[in-house]
Amino acid sequence: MESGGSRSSRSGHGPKLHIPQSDLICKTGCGFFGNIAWQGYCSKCYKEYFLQRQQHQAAFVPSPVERSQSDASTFFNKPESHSSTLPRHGFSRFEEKKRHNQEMRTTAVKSLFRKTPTKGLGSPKSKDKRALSPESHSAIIELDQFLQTLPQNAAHHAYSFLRMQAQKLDGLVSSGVLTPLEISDRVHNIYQVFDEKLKTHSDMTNSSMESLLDHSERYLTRLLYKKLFCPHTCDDEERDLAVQKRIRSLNWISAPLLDCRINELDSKVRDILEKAITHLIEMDGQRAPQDKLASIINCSKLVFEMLGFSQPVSADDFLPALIYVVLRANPPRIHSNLNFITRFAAPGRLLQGEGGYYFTNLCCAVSFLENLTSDSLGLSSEEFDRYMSGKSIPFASLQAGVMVSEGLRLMYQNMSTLSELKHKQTNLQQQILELKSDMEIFNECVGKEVVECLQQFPVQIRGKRAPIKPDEVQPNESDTLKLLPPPLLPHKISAESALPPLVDSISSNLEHLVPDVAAAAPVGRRVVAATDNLLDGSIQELDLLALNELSISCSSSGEPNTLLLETTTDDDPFSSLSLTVQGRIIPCIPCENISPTGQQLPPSN
Amino acid sequence: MSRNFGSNLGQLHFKIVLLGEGCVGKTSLVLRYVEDKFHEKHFSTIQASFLTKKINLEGQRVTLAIWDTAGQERFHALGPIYYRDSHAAILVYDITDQDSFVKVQNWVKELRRILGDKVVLAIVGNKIDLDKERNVPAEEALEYSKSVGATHYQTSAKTNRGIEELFLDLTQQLLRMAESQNELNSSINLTSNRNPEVVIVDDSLAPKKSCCG
Repeated sequence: MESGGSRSSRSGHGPKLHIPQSDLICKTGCGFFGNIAWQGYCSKCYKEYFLQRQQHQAAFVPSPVERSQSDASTFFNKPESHSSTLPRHGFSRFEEKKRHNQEMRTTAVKSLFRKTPTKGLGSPKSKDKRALSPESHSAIIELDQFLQTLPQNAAHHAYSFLRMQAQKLDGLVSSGVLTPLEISDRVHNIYQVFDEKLKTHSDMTNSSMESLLDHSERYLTRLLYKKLFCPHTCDDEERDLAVQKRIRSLNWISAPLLDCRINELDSKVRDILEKAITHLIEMDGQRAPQDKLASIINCSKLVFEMLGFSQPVSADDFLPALIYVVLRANPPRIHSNLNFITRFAAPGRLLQGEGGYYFTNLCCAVSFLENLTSDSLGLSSEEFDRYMSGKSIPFASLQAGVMVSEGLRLMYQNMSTLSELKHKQTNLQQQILELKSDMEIFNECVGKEVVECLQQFPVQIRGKRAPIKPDEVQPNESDTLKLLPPPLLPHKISAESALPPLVDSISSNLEHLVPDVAAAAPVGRRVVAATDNLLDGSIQELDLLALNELSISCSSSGEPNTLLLETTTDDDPFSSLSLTVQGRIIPCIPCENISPTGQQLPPSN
Repeated sequence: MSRNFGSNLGQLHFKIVLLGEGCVGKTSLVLRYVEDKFHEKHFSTIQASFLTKKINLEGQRVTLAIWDTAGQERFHALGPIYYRDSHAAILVYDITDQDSFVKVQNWVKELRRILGDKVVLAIVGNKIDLDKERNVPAEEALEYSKSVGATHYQTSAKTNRGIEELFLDLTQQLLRMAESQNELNSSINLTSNRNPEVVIVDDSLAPKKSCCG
């Protein structure tokens, strides 16, 4: 049991039953009996030894001593590693002795049966007790460090007062005549008197005063922790054990039974829960009330974290969760700890502030668990008894994984993870299907739209716009080729021949034209006939350019034809005619849909 | 150790405990007062069970520590742990729920029995936005409050009605009580302030002489 730990360890290397006489004699061999408390010397020899040592120390380490003369810590020796039996100089030495004597006395009372009859030769226990624990050492060092930041006068007073009170308290507590309540009253009195004394120091700021009070509380409780915590005069220890046993027998209670929203199968929640439990258990290891309270506050904050997601957590949710955490943690010596805080924390701490509130809630949680009945869980008394006796386990607790081993818990957790994954998988699949159908619908829609568009604006795809080369036979233009006039062959036209084949072919072509145009043909025939001899039969192309050239050449060639030619150009019947002839054999491309660049124009609105 | 009103730094601390059945709106009430929010997403606190509010009233800085309590019936027995040393209690009931008012009456009896007249009581009918469904007549509640020396208020956390008034009035009552208490204390202080058993030795050098060694 943890509660008995400190004492059992002490008695572990406890008194030897038999000590040889030679061990009892003074180390110097003066013939007197020595004492372990005096490092095996007799009182006289020890005095000499001690004086020597002191001189030795002063010679080797002069500075700290000098400093301490002027310092606030005049009455406070730096703790030396082997200072357990080294009396302090001056007043503190006296104090040390006094305390030692008191301790000896109490030890004597407590362990009468262990004592050897030799006076002064206590069990090794006395030595252990005199040695300040590391915790007390650090308490002293901390106070000292803090005091050095204060004005000298105030620090001096504060230190002497605290030292004094600690001594007094130690003596009183050790005597074992006071009830815990009386001790608590005394401690509170010290706080109050100290507070009043501090007010007389005008050179202190409020904040430094508060932290001094805080430090003094820490100092007193840490220094005397072993005596103040769970004193022998009260039944705290029994109650600790009772609570522990009670909580152990209630281990079947699951979160849902307490109406508590903790879902333990969630690994995140479980992590926080474990941290909260750790803080709660850690509380026992802290010494000063404020440190214990800090552990409680940390634990409570984690409980809120565990519960709170959207809405702030109200007390209706918080208390059941805290009860559950206490149940799961089963913190050691919970009763003694709560009592210690109640008794020795500065009064303001528990009345105001967060710490007080969470502490109260923890008290409530413990009290609830202590007085838990079947009604408070909404169970019938038979059910409750059955669960308490361990004959059966509520199904909900099994489900919530309260009673299961770590392996099973892991399995449950994995199962829940798997089902979560499965859920996600089905979700994913569903989404895939949805996406698929969406895609199909989209496809259809686009197809429909395209068709509609095509119906609205039909596209006629035509061949490439080929450059027009009338005289070149293109293989795929065989039909148009049929429409073309047969290629002209160069002729040697004699002057006497009446009608050259060229003119003949033209006239034959002209037959196809509209009658009014055809009516104008004789004029052209005449012109051609007139120019025939001039051209010397070299006319091969029948286009506008050629005709123009023809007309120019005609005009420049001879005087007698001038009039006739002029009439031709003025009226221009032949040129237009020849154009028409030309245009007719060019494959027709509808131009309304063709842009100048040859691309299809968008449909005009 | 006597209950001390306030601290020594010119600032008064009051502990106010919120009592009432579950679902009467205790938490909403105090959240509305401290954060002026109701069922919103962004609360600056993750908990609503312990909230503090600093106010300045009549030139006096006052800190209200508002302690929420679990309203479930199974925790009823824990009440005394919560309201120990509290300066005021706000007892909330739901005006649409007669049972919650009966619960308040039980609390009042308990509080008066344990804390006596030193505690300021405020009986609060919440959810007056649901006046149509009212089951607790306002007159009845008012009369009852008077008979037990409590003040009756009607509030709605949802529509933010009457809440500021409730806390302001309560604080004023607390201030008045603190003043009378302080006067009483100071008169007592003159006669016996300290525990006579504690001897304060100013000079630590006094026990200088040593007996041995």
